[in-house]
Amino acid sequence: MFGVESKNHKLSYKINLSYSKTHAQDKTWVAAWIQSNRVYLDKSNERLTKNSRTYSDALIENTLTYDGTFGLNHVNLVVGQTYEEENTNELNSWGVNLSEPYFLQIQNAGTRDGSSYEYKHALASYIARLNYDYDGRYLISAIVRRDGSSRLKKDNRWDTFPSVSVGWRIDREPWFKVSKNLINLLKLRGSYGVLGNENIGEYQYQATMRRKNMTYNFGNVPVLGSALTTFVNENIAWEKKKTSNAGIDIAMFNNRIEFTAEWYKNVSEDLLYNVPVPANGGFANTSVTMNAASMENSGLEFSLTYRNHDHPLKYDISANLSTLKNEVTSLGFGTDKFITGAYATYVGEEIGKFYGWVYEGIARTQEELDAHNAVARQDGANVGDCLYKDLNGDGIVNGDDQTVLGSGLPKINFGLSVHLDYKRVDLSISTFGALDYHVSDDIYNSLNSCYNYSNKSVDMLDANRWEGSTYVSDVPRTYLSNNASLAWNDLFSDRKIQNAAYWKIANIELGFNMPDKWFGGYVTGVRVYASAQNLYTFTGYHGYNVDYAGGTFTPGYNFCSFPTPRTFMGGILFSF
Amino acid sequence: MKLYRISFALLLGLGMMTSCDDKLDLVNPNQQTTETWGNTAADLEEAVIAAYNHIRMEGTYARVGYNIDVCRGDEVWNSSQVWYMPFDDLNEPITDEIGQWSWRDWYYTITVCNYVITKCGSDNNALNEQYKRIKGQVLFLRGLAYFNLANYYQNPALITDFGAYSTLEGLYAANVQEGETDGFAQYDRVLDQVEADFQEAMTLLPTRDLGGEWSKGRATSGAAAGYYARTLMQRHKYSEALAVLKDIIGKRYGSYKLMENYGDNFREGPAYENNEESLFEVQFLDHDSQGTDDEWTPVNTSANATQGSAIESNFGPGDFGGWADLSAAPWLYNLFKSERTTNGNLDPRLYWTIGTYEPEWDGFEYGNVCYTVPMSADVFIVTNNNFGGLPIAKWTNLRTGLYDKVVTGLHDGINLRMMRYSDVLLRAAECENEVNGPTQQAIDWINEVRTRAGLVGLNLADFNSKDKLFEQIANVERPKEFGCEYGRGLDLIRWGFFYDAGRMAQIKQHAAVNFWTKSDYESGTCAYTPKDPVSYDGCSKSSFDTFVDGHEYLPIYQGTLNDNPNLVGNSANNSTSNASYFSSKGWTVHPVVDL
Repeated sequence: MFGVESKNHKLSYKINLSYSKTHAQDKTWVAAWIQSNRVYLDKSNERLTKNSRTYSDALIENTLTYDGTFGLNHVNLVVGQTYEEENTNELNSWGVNLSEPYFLQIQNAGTRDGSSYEYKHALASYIARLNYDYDGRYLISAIVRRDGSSRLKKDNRWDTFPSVSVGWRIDREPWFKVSKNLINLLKLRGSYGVLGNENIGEYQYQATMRRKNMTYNFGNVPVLGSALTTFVNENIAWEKKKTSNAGIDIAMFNNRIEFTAEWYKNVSEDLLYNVPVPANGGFANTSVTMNAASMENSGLEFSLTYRNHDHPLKYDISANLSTLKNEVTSLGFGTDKFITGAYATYVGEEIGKFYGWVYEGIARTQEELDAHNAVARQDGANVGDCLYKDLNGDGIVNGDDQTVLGSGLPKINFGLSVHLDYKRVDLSISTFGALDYHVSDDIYNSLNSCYNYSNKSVDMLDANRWEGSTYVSDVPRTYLSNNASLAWNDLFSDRKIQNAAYWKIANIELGFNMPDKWFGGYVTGVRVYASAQNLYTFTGYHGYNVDYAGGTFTPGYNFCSFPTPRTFMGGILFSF
Repeated sequence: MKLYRISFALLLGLGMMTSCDDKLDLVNPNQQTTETWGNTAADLEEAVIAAYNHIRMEGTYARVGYNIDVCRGDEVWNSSQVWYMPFDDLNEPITDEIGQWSWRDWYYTITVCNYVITKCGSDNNALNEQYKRIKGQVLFLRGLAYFNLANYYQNPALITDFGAYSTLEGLYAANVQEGETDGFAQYDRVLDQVEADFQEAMTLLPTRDLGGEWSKGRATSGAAAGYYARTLMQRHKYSEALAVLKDIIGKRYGSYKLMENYGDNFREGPAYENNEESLFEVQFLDHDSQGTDDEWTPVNTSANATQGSAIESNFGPGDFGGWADLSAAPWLYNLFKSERTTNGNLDPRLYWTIGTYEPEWDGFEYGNVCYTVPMSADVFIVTNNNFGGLPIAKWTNLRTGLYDKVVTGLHDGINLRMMRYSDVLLRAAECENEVNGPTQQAIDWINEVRTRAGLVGLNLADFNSKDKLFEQIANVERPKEFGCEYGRGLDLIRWGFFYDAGRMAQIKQHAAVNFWTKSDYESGTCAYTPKDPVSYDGCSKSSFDTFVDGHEYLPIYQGTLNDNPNLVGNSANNSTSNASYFSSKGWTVHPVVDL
C-alpha cells in the first residue's frame, strides 16, 4: 500500500494478493463383515476407495482510495478491481473384492476403476464506492459493481449491480434540542441495492454430449453422427437479489440503551430454477435450469441493547428478533406450482410448504375402521393403521387427497446475548433460536417407519399393543412389508411433522486477563479462557440437529443434516 | 524501494485489468461439451447424420410413426384389434401416450436440424459447397418433420431457430396466435415453412446423378422437389405442384424412371435399394449387416444399433412370428383381382402388396411362398389368428426368400421408399386433371405406371369429366400402386373425403371387413374366406364407423398440453369438424363417380 496525503486530501493505492492451497486425501475401507444371516457384507464385496483432491484459490485486489474534506463535506471514493480463481483437481479410485491378507492398495482389488475431474471457477469485478456526508448529518453511500463470472456464457457474463443507502442523523441537526444525555443518536436510514448470485456450479451453460453414438447408413454402409441430447440454457444469467430496507437507530443515556427497528424486503429475481422441457423442445432432459423463478422475503427486525459500565461489574445485554414472510411470485413460465416429494410451492404462497395427507388418528377397532372405509375407503388398511381424510370426497383415500399441511420456515428468529465484565474476569453468553417453526426429520421418520427392518427407534417397541381386539398403542402397527394400496402408516401427514421451536446456547466463553506485570513486560496481553460451543438446545424436537439448512424448495426437510458438534476449548493467548 | 513497489503494483494491477475477460472463458476439461462442438463442417456433418438417425425412430418411420398413416387409410385395417385400434378407428383419445410418440421423435429431429441450420446462418451465398449440402439436407429433414407433424397433429408448434430454445417463449412455443379459434391458421403457418424449407433445399442440394451417397440415401434436390410438390398438393395448389412435377419428369432434379420390376421397390440389398425410381427412402441395414442394439427412441441410441425397422413385425402374420397388427382390406385385394394384365395374368403389384396364394404365382418371382413356406390354395394364411386379415407383403420378407419367419423388433432391413417416381407420375396426372381437366397428357402419365404393371392403357375417351378421371386416380391407380404404404391417410385428408357424406360412405365400404378364424371356417361357422368381397351392410367392422369429427388428425397428447401451457388442442382434442376450413379455402370434394 502506498499513497500521497495532504491535510484535507488523501489518495492511497492498495494491492492485496492472496493464495491458498489445500490438499485432501481420503481413504475408506470396508472389510467383509457379518451381523446376522440377513445383514452382512459378503466376502468379495470388500471395498476400498482412495481419493485425493487439491483446491487452490488465488485472489488479487487493486483498490484506489481518495478521501477528501471540503469544509463540512466529506468524500470517500474507492475504485477497485478484483479477480478470483478457484481450481479443483480430483483423482478418485476404488476397488472391490480384495483377497486376504488385506493389503490396502487399489491394485490388489479384483475389480477397480478410477475417475478424475478438473474444475475452474473465475470471478472478476470492478467496484466503485462513494461515501459522502455533509457535516455528519446527511450520509449517502453509493456502490456500483460490475461482476463477471466464468459460469456464464459470454453474452450474459457481465452484469452491473448498483446499491445506494442514505442516512439522516437527526440528533445532529441544530434544531434537535434534546439533551445528548437523553438521546445521543437518532438516525433514520434506508437503502436499496441489487446483488448478483451465480452459485450454480461450473460449466452449466455448456451441455455435455456423447460423440458418434447415432447411426445411419448410406447404401448399407454405416455412418456415425452426433447431436446434443441434453439441453442446457445458454442464456443462464445472474440471479438478482434486490434488497430494500428502512430503519431507525436510537441510542439513549449515552449508549446505555440502543434500539434499532428495521423493515426489510428482499426480492429475489431470475432465480435459477428447473423448468420442465416440453416435448416440442426435442431434448432428452425433462427439465432445464432457467432464470425463471422469483420470490420475496420481507419482515421486521428489532434489536435492543442495554449496557451498564458504571460499576466494577460491567454488563451488556442484547436481544434481537426478526420476522419472516416469504412469497413466491413466479415459478417460471406457465407453472403455478412445483411439488417435490412432500413439499409444495404455489405461486403467491410461501415456498416449500409441507404437502401430504390429513391424519385422522388410528383405527382402534374394526367398527371404527369399517365406519371410516364406508366414507373414505383405505384399501388394505387394518385395525391399528392410520386413517386419513378423503379430501376430494370421492370415497377413496389416494394420491389425490394430499394438501398443504403447513410451513417449513421459522416465522420468528431471535437471539439473546450477555456480556459480563468484572475486573479481570469476563463472561460472554450468546444464544439464538426460532419460534413458530416446524420440521420433518428424515432420520427420525425413517427410524419410526412402520415397515421393514429399519425402524430401530425404541419408541417403536410400543407398537402392536392390544387390549382384546382394541388397538391401544399410539404407535401404528408395524408390517414387514406393505401390501396395502398405500403404506398407510408411513404416509406423509401431520404425524411426520414436528414442532421445531428451539433456543440454543450457542457459545459461552469465560476469560481471565492477566496483568502484564506478572511477566515482567516480556509478554503482554496474556489471557486464559475456556469456551463451550453448542452447549445445550432447549427444544422438543426429536432429531440431533434442529439448526440445519434446508433446500430452497424443501426448507422444512431435515435430510440427514450434518450434526453441529459440541465443542469445548481452553486456551492461553499471549503476545510478545 | 518506493518506485519498485509502484511498478510492481502497477504491473500486477494493470496486467490483471486487461486480461480479465479472457480469463473468464473457461471450457469444461472433463468431457465433450457443446461449447466446443458444432463449429466446423466436420462436426455439422455428424449432426446431419444424427438428423437422419432420428427419422428412423419408433415415432418417425421405424414403427408407429409410419403405421399411423397406414392405419388411417381405407385399404388397411387393424387386425389385432389392440394397440393400433384407436388410430385405425379414428378416435384416438387424448390420454393415449402412444399418440405422442410421433410428436416426440419428429421434434427431436427438428431440434437437430435447427441446430445445424442456425450454425449455417441465413446467407446461403456465404456458404461453400459443403456447407450448402449440409444445410440443404437438414432443411429437407426439417421440412419432412413439420410435414409429418402438421398432417398428424394439424397445429404443431413451429420452432425454426436454435437460439429460441434458450428463451421461455421459444421453449414453450405457442401454436396459436391472438384471436385464432381453430388450429388451421397454425397448420398454414407450419406448411408455409415446410414449403419454404423444401424450396430452399432444392436450391442447395445436388441431384442423385452426382452419385456416391447422393444416390444411396442422402436427401437430394429431387427428394426436396418431390416433397415440395406433395406439400403443395396437400393444400390444393395444383398448378404450382404441376410445374414442379413436370420439372422432375423433365430430369431437372436428377434422372428418375420406373423400375421394370415393381418388386424392386420392396426388396432389400444393393441391387434394389436406392434405385432409379426412388426419390427418397429411409435407410435400413440389410439383414446380414445389422448391429445388435434396438434403438426405439432418440434417447437410447447406440453406435451398434440394429438400424432396422419394426414395420415387418407389425405386418407379419402371427403364425410366422409377427405381431399381426395390420392387414390389407378385402376391397384392395378384390380391386387387384378385378383387372387382368394384357397377358391375362394378375397384376404383379398384388404379389408384392398382399401375401395370398394365387395359382398365377406359381413360377412367378419366389412363387407361392410365405416366409419360404409353400402356400396352398385351400389353406388361408391370415395375419391375426383371432380376427383374420390378409397379410401385407410390402416391407416384409414374406416374399423375399431371406427369412423363414419374422424377426421381430427393429430387424426389418428393407428400406422404406417414401416417395417413388410412380408417385410423381400419378401426382402429375392428378394435377393436370385438376388444372386442365382430363387430357391426353394426364392419361399418358397414368399409362406409364399402368404399363409397368402390364395393364392396358386408359383411353381419354372413357373419361368425360374431371371427376371421373379423379375417381380413377384416387380409387384405382393410387391404391394399386401405393396400397398399404404410408400416404393414403394424407390423400384422404387432402381430398376432403372426411367432409363429404358420399365419400364417407365409400371409404366405409372400402374398409369393411369380416372377422375370420381358421376354426370358425373349418367348423363351418363362417362360410366366407378372408379373400371374399365384404359388403358394408352386415360386415364385422368398418373402422370409419367410429370416426369422431376432427379425428382425421391425432389429438395433441394431454401430457404434452400440460407441459406446455402455450399449446392449444386441435380438432381432434376438441372433436370438431374441419369441413368448414376445407370449404372456406374454396376447395371442393369430387363427388363419387361409378367407373
